[in-house]
Amino acid sequence: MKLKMLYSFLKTDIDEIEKELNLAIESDTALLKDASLHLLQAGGKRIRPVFVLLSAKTGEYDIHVIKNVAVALELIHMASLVHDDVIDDAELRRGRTTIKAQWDNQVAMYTGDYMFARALDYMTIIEEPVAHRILSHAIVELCIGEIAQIEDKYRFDQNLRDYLRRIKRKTALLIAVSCQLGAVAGKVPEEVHTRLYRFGYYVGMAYQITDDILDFTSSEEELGKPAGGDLMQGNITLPVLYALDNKQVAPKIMSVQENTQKEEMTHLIDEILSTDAIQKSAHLSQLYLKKALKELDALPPSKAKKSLRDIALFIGKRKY
Amino acid sequence: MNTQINSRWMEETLQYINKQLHHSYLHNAIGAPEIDEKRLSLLLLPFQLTGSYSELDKSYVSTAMLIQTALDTHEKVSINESDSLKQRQLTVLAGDFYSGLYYRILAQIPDIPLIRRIAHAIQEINEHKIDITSKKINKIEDILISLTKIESAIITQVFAHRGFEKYITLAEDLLVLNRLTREKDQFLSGEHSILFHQLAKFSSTVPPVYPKKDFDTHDHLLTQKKNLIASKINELGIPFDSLKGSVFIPFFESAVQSKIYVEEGY
Repeated sequence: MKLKMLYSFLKTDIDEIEKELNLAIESDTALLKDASLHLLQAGGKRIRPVFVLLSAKTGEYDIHVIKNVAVALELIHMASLVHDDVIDDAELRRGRTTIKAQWDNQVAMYTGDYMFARALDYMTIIEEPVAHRILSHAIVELCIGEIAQIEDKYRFDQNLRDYLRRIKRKTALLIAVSCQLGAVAGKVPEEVHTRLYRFGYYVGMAYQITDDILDFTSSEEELGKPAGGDLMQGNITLPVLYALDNKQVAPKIMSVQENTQKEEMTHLIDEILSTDAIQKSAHLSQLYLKKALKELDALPPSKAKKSLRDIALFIGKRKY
Repeated sequence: MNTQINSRWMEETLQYINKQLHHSYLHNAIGAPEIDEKRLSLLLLPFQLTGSYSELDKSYVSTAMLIQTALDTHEKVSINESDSLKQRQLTVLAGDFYSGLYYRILAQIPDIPLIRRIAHAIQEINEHKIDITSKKINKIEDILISLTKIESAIITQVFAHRGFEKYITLAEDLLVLNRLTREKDQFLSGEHSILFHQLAKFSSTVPPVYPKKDFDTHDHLLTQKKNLIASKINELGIPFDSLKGSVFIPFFESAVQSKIYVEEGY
């Protein structure tokens, strides 16, 4: 089953958000519009808007209000992708040339800054101060997480806590606040929006761990980049941390550096796969998913609750 | 006007900004961001003139400085990728981080209308940045409009929000004067100058040469701006003598020529 099928009842509203995203990047400056549109047309799962809408369904659901949060979060995500491509020196994203490759770094920086400002502009339509405290905190933490990821590259003495804190900031927080802000915009009580925050946080953690597992278990074709690419770039992910417990494999992992050859990496990936690192990582991902599902228990039955549950389960089972 | 109080406000605001910006790893790797003290002194000007500067005002002024620092940091991301990958990565992230800080401060106040105003200013700035770097501009006036917006859109919004509308055009002129001076300094030091790059496009020679005409155009713009600034300072009844050292003179200085033009004009 495709992810989109899990929330098909939201189709009209998701189309509305897509329309609004197109309006959001309108600009008199043709190049800015072209660059933004270039990224928008590359598509994406729009998972953050989906979480916003589903969480808002737990309260007073008014698409004309909720869509502003959904658009803001997707624009923040898009702005970070544009800047990430400059950071990673990436030529392709979702099979299309990146903005930095199509134009240059400067255009990518300006487009990202523009999109971020558009996002905050949309967000100010929501007047609840708590919504802004939540989002601004998450944005700062997200940046700190990305900086930490660079700081921690090839640092093999890091521990599980370092990793979890990093993926919380890098991935889980934005999913968590997507759920929470949807609920805040739906005017639910604090107890409900903090519960949805926790749900999003646990789902986000499980999602990133699964991503880190797939980096080892998927083929280059499925990933669209070489398997084990994270380790090659010095990113110490959960399977690597667990594999470091194996005395035979650990020294080989610790010898990885920027110019490690592809064949050497292929061999090392096989060795990592021969340990219990993937199973242990998958187990931790499942634990996060269980915690996510438990948060939903207290919500009254609804289509949205079922979708949130199905999405969480889908993330746990996804193969690429 | 108490100059001791003024320098204390400046000092306290700088401390607050630096505390917000602090990130030891970032600063060790790419250096601490440069705070534009000229801009800060200009932001403080209306508060100096009214003699009042609250904690909330300090947050507003700091916010404007943080977002400016964020945008300036992103300007350092090179086009030709001459810097190291790590430096470029951290420069991008530093700018994103500083820009998140401005939102966090205003969200904590909370001041949603100012968040909106500044978001509009950032949009406008980036539109003009793209215009002047990518478009062939045919009129010097259009370059000036873009440079004015790029330099002053943030300060304009903060002044308007705080009820200091009457100082907006003075701030615009001072900031664009500063930019024009900087552009010439950059050009004379062999760095890229967007202004001289655009002026060269007006030239019919291929490859473009920078004739005396371009410097004359530039000097004419500077003189125009200085005259405008002088008359605005008079109109606003600003006590120039007591503020020239702390606010105005730095805007007239050229790093290359080290000339203080302002004293010739008054």
